[in-house]
Amino acid sequence: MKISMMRNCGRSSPEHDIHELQNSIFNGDTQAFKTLYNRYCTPLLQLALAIVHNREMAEEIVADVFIAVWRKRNDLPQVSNLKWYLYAATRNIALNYVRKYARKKTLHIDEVHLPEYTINPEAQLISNELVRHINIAISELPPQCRLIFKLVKEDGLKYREVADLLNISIKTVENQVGIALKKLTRMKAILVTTLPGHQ
Amino acid sequence: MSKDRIWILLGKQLSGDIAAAEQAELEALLKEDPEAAASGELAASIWQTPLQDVNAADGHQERIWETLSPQLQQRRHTPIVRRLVTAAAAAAVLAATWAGWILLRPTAPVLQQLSSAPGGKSKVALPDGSIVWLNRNTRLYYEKNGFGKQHREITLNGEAFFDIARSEGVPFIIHAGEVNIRVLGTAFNVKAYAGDSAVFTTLVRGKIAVSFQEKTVVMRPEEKLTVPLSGQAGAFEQAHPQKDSSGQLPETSWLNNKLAFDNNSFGELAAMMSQWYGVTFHFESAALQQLRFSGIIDTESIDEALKMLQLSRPFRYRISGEAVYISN
Repeated sequence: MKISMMRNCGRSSPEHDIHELQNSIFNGDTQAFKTLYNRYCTPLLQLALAIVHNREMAEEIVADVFIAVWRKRNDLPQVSNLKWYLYAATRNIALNYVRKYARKKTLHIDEVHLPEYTINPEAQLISNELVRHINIAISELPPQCRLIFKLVKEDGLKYREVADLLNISIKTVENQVGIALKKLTRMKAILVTTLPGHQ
Repeated sequence: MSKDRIWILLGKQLSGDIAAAEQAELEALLKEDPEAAASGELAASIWQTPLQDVNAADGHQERIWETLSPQLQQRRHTPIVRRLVTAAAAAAVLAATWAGWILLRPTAPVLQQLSSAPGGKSKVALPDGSIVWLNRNTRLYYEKNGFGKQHREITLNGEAFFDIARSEGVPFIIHAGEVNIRVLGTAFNVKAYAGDSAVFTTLVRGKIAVSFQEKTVVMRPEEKLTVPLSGQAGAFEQAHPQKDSSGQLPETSWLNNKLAFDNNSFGELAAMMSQWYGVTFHFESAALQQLRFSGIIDTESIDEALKMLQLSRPFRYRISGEAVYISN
């Protein structure tokens, strides 16, 4: 159940889907708004957490983003890329929080607090050893590398978008995704040959 | 060095964010290194593995919803600090709302970028009142400072239909690669994707001047001008496209969400469909690329479109993710 939920967010859902949602929300459809919320709540919360390092604040930021989307729904036709808009708004609001409340804390990705990728019993039931080990390997990546890899792979953001979001160069995004893949593939190559019972 | 390059390119390929040249580079690298090719398959399976986020199960989704849902209906009464934050939020949202999104650059000059949603089209209003429809995978850039007053210059990468507001004394100039288009109040279409070999301009009404290197051509309504980027400046090609039964020029049919092709080779069609669907085509043989098709793709999925094409010419196809393989 967890896995199917993860798959439903971001990249794997067709892009026209979000256009339809955008249209319906513009027309005041609360159900569509809830669908949008369900899809982006978790990835946006993770982004906010990575910036403000505070759970309560991060949750408030996500609430603010969605409240703003709903209140400003009349402007939605002018938004050409709603998904990017959500990420950019989360980043902007989170940075405002940092400026207002956290005094001197700024966005240093290498000290960013990121969600841990660990295993819960439910996921363990439906995933095999291999998936488990890959997720452990992912949780062992350096924080910046992990955040970039997650934004590209799981959230389906474009390289350009990740670069703009984190204020880094596209080259850095390319390199970090490359490094993550290389490390994870090494890990998997070892697992495939050493794990008992895995074909 | 080239080892790391493979990983960078694999990442771009798996994310679907890879340029044609990079794809070719990757295929060449994989061909010369069988071990890397095997790693490529492992990497693909890793890409399919969902990240299991421990936070997903902590109930935050319900918790945040409870916070925000009461605020969707009525104006809230909240302490000042909270309201300040909301004001900041609204400001951020407004900034991002206007005509797409703003590329925030802390230093001058301020480059504004407008882009269509991946796989979708967008209609945007420029600050001077001009309206632009962006086709898929299209980006517009302009210098925000003084736009509409001191200048109206934009850079186009992709395809767009322009309905330009009149503005005495401030010409609207579009830079499409090395081709410049100068406008005074009019409506026209420009196709100038980065991979295209030429810039195609189709004028619907009004008057525009297109220049490339030394040469300038003034266009009349319902004319289409092709400026090849490889040849010399003299090689402009002027044509009068036929309107279809609805009275529309084929060059602007994408506005109605249609992909029109008229006796185009499969190779050309593949380039159009790549942009339309965000896929890459791989042909088994060059002869297949020479097959010719005419038709219009409207709201068909890529699978339906290929089935439709199969009705007129025999070929086989296989769709694998974002790659389409065409064979005999």
